[in-house]
Amino acid sequence: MRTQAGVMVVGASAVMLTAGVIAAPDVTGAVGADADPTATGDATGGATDGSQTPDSSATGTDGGTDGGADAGAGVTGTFDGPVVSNLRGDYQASLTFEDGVLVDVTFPVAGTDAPESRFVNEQSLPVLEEEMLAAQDWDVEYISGASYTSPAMVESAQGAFEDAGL
Amino acid sequence: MTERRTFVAMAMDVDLEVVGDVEADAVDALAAHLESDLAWVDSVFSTYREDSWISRINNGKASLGEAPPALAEVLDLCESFRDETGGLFDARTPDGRIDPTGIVKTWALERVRWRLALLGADGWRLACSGDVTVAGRAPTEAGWRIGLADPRHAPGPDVPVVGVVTLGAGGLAATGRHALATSGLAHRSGHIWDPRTGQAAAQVAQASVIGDDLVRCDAWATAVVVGGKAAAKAAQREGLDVQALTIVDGTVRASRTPGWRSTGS
Repeated sequence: MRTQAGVMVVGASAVMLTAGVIAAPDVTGAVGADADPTATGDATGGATDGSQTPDSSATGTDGGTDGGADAGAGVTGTFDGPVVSNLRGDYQASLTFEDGVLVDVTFPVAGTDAPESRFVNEQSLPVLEEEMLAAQDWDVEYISGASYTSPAMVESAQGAFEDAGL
Repeated sequence: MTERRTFVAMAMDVDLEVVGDVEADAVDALAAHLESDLAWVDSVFSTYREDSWISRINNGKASLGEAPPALAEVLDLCESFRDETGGLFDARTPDGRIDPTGIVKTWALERVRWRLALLGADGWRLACSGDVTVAGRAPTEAGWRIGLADPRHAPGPDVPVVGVVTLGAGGLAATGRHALATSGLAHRSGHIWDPRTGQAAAQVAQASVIGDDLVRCDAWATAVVVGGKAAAKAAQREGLDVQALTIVDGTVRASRTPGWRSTGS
C-alpha cells in the first residue's frame, strides 16, 4: 500500500487526459487544466463527424502512431500527459487511443515504481459531473454542514507557516 | 411517531431522531447512554483537554500501552485510512504529534450503533455536525433527506441549503449507503493542511462523502478537501460517492461522482 500515492498521482493525470477525450461535451468542467488540448479537440470533432474526411489531425502530436485508416470515427493516436512529480519520483502517463477508445496506458517516466504504477491500467477511470448550485428551500430532516477537520492540525499548520515566514 | 433528542457531546450538538412505536422514556434513557458514551470518548481523545489520554501521550506523560485499547484501535484506523487515501488523510501533525480528531467523532457515532439497534424502533438517524448515519424507516416516505449546507455561510441551524441527498433509500430492506460525512475548510481559523506538500489546501471549500461506513466517509471527506478532484476520483474507485464544492466568483460549483444521488437540484 506504500505505492498508493504514486499510483494515485499517475492515475489522476491519466484520468484528466482520458476524461477529456471520452467526456468531450463536458470537457471544461470534468477535465483538469493539463489535459492535452490537441487530444480533446480531435475527440470532439471525431465523435460528431461521421463523414469520411481525411483526418490526419486525429493522429497524436507527441510521437503518435498512424491512425489514418479509421479517421473520422474517433481519435487514434498516442498522447503524452504532463510529467508530474511526487516523493517517489517523476511520473508521466502516455495514452493510446483507437477510434476514441483508450487501448493502452504506458508510463514513459515512472519513478521507481513502474510495475505497480501500471496497475492503473486495470482500474476504471472515473469522471466527475459538474453543476453550479444555488441556495434553495428544501424540506429536509437534517442539514449536513462542514465538520472542520482537525483544529489542532490547523493550528500546527499555521504555526509552521509562521515559522516559514509565510 | 417521531422522537427527537439533542445533547452536547465533544463540544458539538448531537441530534438523535427515532421513528416508530417507541416509549419516550426509552428514548430518554438511550440518549443518556449515548451522552455518557461520547463523554468517555472525549475524555480519552480530546486534544483540548490536558488530562486526556491523547494529550498525555503527546506530552510524553503516558504511553500507548497504558491507554485504553480504544486509543490503539483508533490510531490503527487512522493508519489504514492514511494508506487507503494515499496519505491525504493523516493523523500525524507536522510537529510530530498524533491528532486522530479527524475521525474520532464518527468512530464514536459508529461505536454506539448497537445501542440504537436495541431500541426496537422502525428507523433512526444519529447526526453530529456534518456527519449523519441512518437506519431503517424515515419519518416520511421520501426517505432520510439530508440537506447540504451552503459553504459560503458559517455553520448553524439557519444555514442555507444548496442540495439534498437521500440516505438509506429503500427502507428497512435496504442495506448500505447509510452514512454521509461532510468536511470543509474553516471559514476563519485558517486552512486545512495538505500532508503531502506542506501547503494549505485551498481548492475544495466543502466535501461530502456517502458510503456504508461513517468513519470511512469522514476520512475520505477530509482527503477530498485536501486532495481535490483527484481525491474525489480516488474515493470513487473505493466505491464511495462524493460531492466536492468549490466557490468560483461567489458561486457554488459542485463536482460529483456519477453515483451521487441528488434530488431537488
